[in-house]
Amino acid sequence: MVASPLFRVNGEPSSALGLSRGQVVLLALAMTVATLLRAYPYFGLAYPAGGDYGHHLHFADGYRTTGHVPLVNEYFQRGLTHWVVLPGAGMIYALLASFAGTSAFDVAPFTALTGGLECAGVFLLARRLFGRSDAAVLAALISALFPAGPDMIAWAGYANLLVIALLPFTLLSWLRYWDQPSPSNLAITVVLVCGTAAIHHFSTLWLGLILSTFTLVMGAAAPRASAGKIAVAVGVGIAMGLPVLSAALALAAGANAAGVVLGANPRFEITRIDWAHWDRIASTISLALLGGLFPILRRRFGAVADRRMLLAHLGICALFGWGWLVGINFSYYRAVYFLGLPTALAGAAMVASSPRNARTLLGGLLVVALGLGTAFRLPGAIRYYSILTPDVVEGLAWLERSSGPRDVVAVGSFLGFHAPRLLRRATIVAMPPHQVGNTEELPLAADAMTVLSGAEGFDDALDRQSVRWIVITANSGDTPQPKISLDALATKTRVSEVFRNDGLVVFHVGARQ
Amino acid sequence: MMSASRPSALSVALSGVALWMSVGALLVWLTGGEGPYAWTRAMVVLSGLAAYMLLLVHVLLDIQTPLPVKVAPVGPHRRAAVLGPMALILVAAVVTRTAWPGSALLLFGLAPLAVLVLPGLGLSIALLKRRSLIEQLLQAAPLSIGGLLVVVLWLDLLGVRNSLEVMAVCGLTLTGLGFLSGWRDRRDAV
Repeated sequence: MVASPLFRVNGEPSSALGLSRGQVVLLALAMTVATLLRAYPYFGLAYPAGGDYGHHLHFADGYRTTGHVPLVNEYFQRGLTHWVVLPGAGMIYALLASFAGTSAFDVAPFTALTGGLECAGVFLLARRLFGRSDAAVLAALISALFPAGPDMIAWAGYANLLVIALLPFTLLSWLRYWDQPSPSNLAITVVLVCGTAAIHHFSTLWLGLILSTFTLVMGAAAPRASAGKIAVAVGVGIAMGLPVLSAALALAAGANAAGVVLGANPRFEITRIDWAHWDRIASTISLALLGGLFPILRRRFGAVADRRMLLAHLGICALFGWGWLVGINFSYYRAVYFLGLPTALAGAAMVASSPRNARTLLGGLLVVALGLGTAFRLPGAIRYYSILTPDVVEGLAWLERSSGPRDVVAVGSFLGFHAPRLLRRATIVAMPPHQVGNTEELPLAADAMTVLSGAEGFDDALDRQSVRWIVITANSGDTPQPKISLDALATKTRVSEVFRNDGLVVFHVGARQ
Repeated sequence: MMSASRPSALSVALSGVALWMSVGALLVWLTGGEGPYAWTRAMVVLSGLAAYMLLLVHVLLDIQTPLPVKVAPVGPHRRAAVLGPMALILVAAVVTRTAWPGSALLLFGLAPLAVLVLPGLGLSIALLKRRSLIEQLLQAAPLSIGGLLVVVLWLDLLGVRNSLEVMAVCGLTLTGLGFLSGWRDRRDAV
């Protein structure tokens, strides 16, 4: 392996990480750019873009004010279902808000720091894989510009973002423990794995499967040498992570996780990865970057354990991304969001494997192309997911004044994350089946979908859920599409438009004729 | 990787004592139900369990092999130099939280440092001794998040109501580990 720098600097002294001064600047730049890209939804908007944070931060505020993990979301799906969610993300926002003496919604912008955090983790993991800092810095740069993070923060997948940022640290700690099973490495591994596993259900499944696959493969290769390490890590992990385990098992039971992943469930057929998903979340250029996996797998970089960990990660991504090809029905484009880490490592490997005098040019071109693609896509995503605007909030305030405390309101999927908190009325939220985490919610979500799309069974669904009001966003994306809802409701004589501004349209539901 | 050296009798004995302490406290807690002393019981259980785990790890692994030093490790004096700013930030955060809750200085400066950095820095100083200062800083936020979540989730499982005081104790404990470790290293170096 040639150890020439990718980015030439003129004889600066090395820092403690073996970085030249130029590389320190590039790493700091990568972390700053990643943070700024994710901070975009917080600039110039009255409310951050996205729907999901309405739930995450409402949960955090509930935890902050009551001191206990909330079990029911009072107004969401009429308060009839359990709030099936891992509590970690809400707890972190609650801790931060409590210490700052503010609401959890005031600390939302700190989510942007996940960008810098992810870059740091990718850098440390890449430095271990490549054994050289220049390639690690390039991996951090690719990770900073990978479009998945900015796309995810546009729709406010805060918990998922947090786990993706922590994932490289967790994998690194597991690899270090595997090499050197010292008490300090064990403690760090257990703290990171347990903490990360407490944050987001889907990511916990991911993390668990990656670590299990890696451990099984390594254990099978050297059973006697591995048994002690595995036994101690599992024992201490279970003891320290008992609350995480109990929360995860409760959630798995509530969401019927085994049935969802292994059963013949058609819910996820529409979430199979297509080209539009790939281009939006990973960008076209990532296909070229993934070509860099070949030098890694051809053993040009990294130890055996490192390569197996990377393969385990890729295998789980492939399983959930394209598992339908082998009969697994839980196939979800969310898998593409997890490809940021392997893409960054592969991209750095590709550049590091290229001819010496072409490296800086190739690395620069990749970074510029990836960065421009992300920068161009981001404003559109922010616009699409700008659910809350002053007009929408004004409309919800009008509805709160005009409705009775027991009235039921039907809302779309995106607005449904915010409406229960802002409206303080029982809502039924239209969600397509693949977005429903808790199977208890399926019938309520289906009725709301019927109502908002004006489909067959419209009147029955209204009566079954005692719906008095229907709310449609006027200027942002939602599910069902607001235009479809507005066109459908215009043909229904039972509903009448009673409020409209630039952000919201409200219909009142009359008696059945 | 694992050394062949036998654990000392003292380690084994202390491990046993810690185990029985935690089991006893757990039984007391299980039979006691909720009440004004729930917090105390929870702390006893957690302390016992933590001591047991640390000793168990020590007994089972008892690793002697140091990590290969690829980069310049942090000397005790450099590590100790971090402790001063850490203490200063901590004091400033507590004072600001008491006097000006919700202020911009607290929200955008001291609170994130106190919650997302200091506890993890404490852990990384204590556990990543042979790593560089920059790596200890890079690992601070993940360890803060992981460490705080493990403690807070345990408290929730034990029925302890979350409050600012509880969280402050959690954060200070984790941060304190770093202080203790740094102070001990400095003393040993002297």
